[in-house]
Amino acid sequence: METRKLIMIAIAISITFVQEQMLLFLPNIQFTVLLVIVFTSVFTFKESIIFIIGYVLLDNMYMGGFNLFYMIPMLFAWSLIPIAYHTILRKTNNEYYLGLFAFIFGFVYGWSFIPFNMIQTGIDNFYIYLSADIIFEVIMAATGFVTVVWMFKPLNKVLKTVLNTQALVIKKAYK
Amino acid sequence: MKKLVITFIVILATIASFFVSNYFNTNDYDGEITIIVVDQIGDIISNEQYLFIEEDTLFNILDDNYVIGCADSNYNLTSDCAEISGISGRIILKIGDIETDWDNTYIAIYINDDYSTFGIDNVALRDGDVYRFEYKEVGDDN
Repeated sequence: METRKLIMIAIAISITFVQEQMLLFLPNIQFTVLLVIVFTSVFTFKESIIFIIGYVLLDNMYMGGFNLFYMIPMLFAWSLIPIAYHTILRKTNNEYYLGLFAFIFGFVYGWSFIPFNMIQTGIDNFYIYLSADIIFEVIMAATGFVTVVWMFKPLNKVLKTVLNTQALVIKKAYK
Repeated sequence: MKKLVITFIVILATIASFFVSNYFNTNDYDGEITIIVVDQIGDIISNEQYLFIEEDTLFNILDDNYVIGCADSNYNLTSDCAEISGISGRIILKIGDIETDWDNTYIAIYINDDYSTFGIDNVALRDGDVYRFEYKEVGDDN
């Protein structure tokens, strides 16, 4: 992997982590879904997965002491973004399709924790988890949709410009 | 314009879902409830009836009649329950002599023997309902 891409991934992890910590006082209102989609759109699948593993490890190290009951569903759920982007979404840059995906993802993210919470707490009534979390899933879905629809295109454009400019500078320096 | 309209609809639908959720989760005008507290060995240490009016909350009734403790932002026990607020609501970690640490033990809320899907701040008060606070270990069945 190119050093420049490695640095980009490190910066992407830092930006995602810091904004999440800054918005921690607002439940599920954050730019994480938008940022993961934006970074996935400029990274390859492999780079996206490295970015997600890095982000989940950092988040769990800081927040929860590597609790596997949170780490595994987080890894699974966030990995769905690059998987979907490179398969069913066919690398689209249409903000409405991506917004719709972000909206659905808000619910899927919440649901991915349910089996692990059932194991951890021992409370095996699926409906309890579903109904208790629904309002937070609605917030995450709406936030994901609105941020992606409004901010995906400009952020994607900026990132592509940065990456292309850097590549050009490196090529010129090499010549 | 299209983007603005869609955004407006999504935000409106989100706000509406809050109102619908609150509409079906309101207190009765007044009534009487029973609060039961169960300790770590399953003994009932308190079983009392309390009158309430529409403006009351389960938290207020509990706070007025028991020594309680809540979780702070780091899930540590604090007696400053009144200072804690926010959309997520309070988490009760202590009632009287029952003390939990959130990581390994917690206080479960049962409404008429059903596990509550709401936290202490969002439970609706209904005449005749029985609210049971039970010491639980994480990983126990309910």
